[in-house]
Amino acid sequence: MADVNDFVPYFLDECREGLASVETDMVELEHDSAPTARLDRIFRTLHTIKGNCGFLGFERLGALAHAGETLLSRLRDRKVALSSEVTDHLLQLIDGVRSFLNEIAEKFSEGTVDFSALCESLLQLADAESAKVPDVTSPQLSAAKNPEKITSAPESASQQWERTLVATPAAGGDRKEIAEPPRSKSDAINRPPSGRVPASGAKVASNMEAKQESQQHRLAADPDFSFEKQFPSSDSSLISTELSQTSIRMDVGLLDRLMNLIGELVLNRNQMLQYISLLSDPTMSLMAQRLNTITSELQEGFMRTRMLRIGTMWKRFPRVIRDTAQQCGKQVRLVTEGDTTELDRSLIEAITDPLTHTIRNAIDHGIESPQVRRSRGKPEHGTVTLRAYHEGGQVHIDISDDGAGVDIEKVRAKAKMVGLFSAEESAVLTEAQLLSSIFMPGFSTKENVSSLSGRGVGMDVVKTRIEHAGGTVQISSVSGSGTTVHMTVPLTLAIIPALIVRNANQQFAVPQVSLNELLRLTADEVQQRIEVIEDSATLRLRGRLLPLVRLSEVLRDTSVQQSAADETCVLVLRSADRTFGLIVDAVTNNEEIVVKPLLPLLQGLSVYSGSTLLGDGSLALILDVLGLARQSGVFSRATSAADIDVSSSRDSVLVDLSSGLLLCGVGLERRVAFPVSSVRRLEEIPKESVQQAGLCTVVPYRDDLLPLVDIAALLYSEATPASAQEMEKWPIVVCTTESGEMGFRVNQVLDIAVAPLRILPAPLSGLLGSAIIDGHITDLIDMSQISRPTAASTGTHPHGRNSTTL
Amino acid sequence: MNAPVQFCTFRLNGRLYGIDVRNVQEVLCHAVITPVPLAAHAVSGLFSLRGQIMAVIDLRRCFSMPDRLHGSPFVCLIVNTPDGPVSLLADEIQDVFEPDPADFESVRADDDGLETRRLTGVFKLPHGLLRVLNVSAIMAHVMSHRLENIANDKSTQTDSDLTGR
Repeated sequence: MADVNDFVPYFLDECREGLASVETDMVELEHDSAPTARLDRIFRTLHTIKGNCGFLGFERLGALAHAGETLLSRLRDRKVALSSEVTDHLLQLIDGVRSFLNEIAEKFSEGTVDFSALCESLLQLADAESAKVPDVTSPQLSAAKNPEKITSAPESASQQWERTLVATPAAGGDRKEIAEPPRSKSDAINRPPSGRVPASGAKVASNMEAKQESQQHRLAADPDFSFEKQFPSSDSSLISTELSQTSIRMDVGLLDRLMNLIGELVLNRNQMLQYISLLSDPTMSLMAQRLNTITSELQEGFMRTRMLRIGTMWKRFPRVIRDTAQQCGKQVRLVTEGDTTELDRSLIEAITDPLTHTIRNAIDHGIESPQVRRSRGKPEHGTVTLRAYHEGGQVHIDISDDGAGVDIEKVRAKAKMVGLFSAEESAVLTEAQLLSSIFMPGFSTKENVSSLSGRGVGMDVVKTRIEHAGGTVQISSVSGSGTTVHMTVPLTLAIIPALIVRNANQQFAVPQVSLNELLRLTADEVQQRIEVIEDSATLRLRGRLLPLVRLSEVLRDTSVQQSAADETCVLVLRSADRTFGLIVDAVTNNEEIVVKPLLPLLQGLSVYSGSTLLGDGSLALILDVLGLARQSGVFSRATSAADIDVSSSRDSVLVDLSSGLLLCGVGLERRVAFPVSSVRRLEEIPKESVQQAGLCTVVPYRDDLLPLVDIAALLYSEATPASAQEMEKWPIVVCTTESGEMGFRVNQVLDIAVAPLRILPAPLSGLLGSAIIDGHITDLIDMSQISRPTAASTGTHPHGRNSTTL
Repeated sequence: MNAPVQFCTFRLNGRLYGIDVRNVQEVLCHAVITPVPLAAHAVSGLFSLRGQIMAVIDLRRCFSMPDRLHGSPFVCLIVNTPDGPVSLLADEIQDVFEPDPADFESVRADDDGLETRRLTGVFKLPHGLLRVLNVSAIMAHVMSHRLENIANDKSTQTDSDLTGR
């Protein structure tokens, strides 16, 4: 038995390969006017499985395959009509066989899986329906029966040829099996079922010329087209035997080891070329050049061994589409282009789920129901098109549907409702900007949650997953005529583009994926733009405050304390939708690096994601941006100042801001916002009424003294501009605070706005954070902090002298 | 330890240590070591042996000996462990020889000294002792301390090194 068990892995491999192509065929069966060829292929696969089961002793799997085979043979003989029910059962059969295979893979036995019920119903179908058949298939049947019609009906002719082949017992069937290697799906789709021409048969000879012509057309269009497939001849077995020997199965582990060695060879070559260039020896140079070319070609060729055709992954989609379409009560067809586009196997795994999700989305959201489509003058069948191609060293995948497109007004309304944008903002946003909000978590325009989609989780996961694989996702849509999701992914995961930086005489690699931009600050700019607030440095960058981290500090490198250099390099890094700046000593260059996983001894050091060998043979650690942010505490530090974490305490903030924001201009062109809920009145007070009471600036107000605070001076230590100083009346915002009423001096009151959802933490005491309102950076005032005597210690005397209020 | 075994011997802070030669893949007298900030104290860094990246463990630090003077020579012993090869740093390489198994004395189970926990035993040679490294104990020690730099400051780390796990 041990000997037989050795065959089990091969058996499993073979079965799975067979099943993958069978599934496609099954779904296509429904649309195929002459399904004989497909039925034959499915039949053969099941037959092979059954035969192997007998040999390996898997009796129940054999019985299941046998039941399917029986049904198929009835179908093929047209004793049973092909209906949706039959297809359902056949698909269930595939699922059944697959679960048997999984069981066998785990336990080397059939285990406890039971499909006797399915067997029964398959056999019943095979028997029961024979009565209804003639109606459905009569035209074709009669064509086959009446030879004189053959010449006028080329389709039936080819059919008859096929049937004679099938009718020939074992030998004929086998020959056909060999003559036709499993075809790729594009083949199956592109070629009309009548594409095969009998090699013999006098009665169809008159048709040959016309057919050949049309085939030559197809020849140009279809790269897979070959005469061997088109004209199976008696010695085709010879050709295909050769064919079968040109590909071998190979252990992926061995491939990976070889890949590593080639990587080494490349590094070694690089070092050698550098050395040889110093020698100026012409013979050596010539040899080196030769080595250079060979190594490059070897590397390139070998990379291709890891590549798979994207079509292998697409094989599963006809099934997905059929199931989804049925669930939604829609009719959908799949069209694929560029099946032969190759990409790394690891990437195929990484993008399968996002692609599946996008396709299901397209069917559920995009494509309309048949009735609606008819009323809009579209064919009842919706079409989902998958297109893959190489461009600019990346793989591009388009998933488009010819459905209703995204309703941009719905998106706009929804975006406003969840507070992504303010009313004014959403009015001016471009369609592309609005569409991109589909990728935000929790966003769905679907009114009803279905089992398929509408929960608002989905497209954001698609985006995250694709970005994780180093790719990008974009969406475009034309209302009424369809939506296209455009993905780009790199060719391979093992090699990533990285920026090499130098810090304390050591090189580190930073993955380009997380790099937003690169800043080089002069000593003057450092002085002006970097501010230290509560021990943490922040950089003023285009009106926002960017928390800064010094790499040496994160890595606790105390050996070299860099003296103030001429220039400071800041990498603006993005991690989980937040950005921070990383200060390094120098930026060296860009390089494509081969990622090697972190050694077990170093695991737990979250600041590194791996190591790599650089082109010069030296070793560099790859920095993990998320780990860096955590290790440095840059985000928690930045938010602690205002005592708010946007992600966790957003709700409490929203409660406070729900009634809107009062926008005011203060200081030198700054904008601040008060929560409307705390604002009591807006007043204008005459300049002369402002007085000093003790250390406070006060103003008589409704028989009381109102403490007065200059926002610009308090928050930003900026003086109120001269133009505002000279005003006769000062605009004052009177607010309720924990310590009673308080007046805040501003330059002018601008507007009332809806509170935005996205508030970026600002590491400045007295602020909730910053947000973009009306296209301006606006600081949100934290009333609880600003009224606290400790936080708000300074006010401004009308003549610019600081004094303590409150 | 009955069957005679050959030992690859080396010096560390003047003392003689040995490793079963069958576990030693090769010995290098030169290596470019890339430091790994935040890694355990005993980890000097990483280095690439013909493309294979491995950790470098300084044996002096494992035995709490003073660090080698900057720029003084060292050797790298590439040792195979169940977790893959690792590079151990020593001062100076010595002979490979086969001591008499009769001279071996294993470490007493109750001996809880810092050094003895990282040895399997000693050979009493005419001119001194040959200490036999317990590589797996050393690896376990480094593994258990791999996160110490993150958790503690440098000062507390040396303490924990002295007091053991």
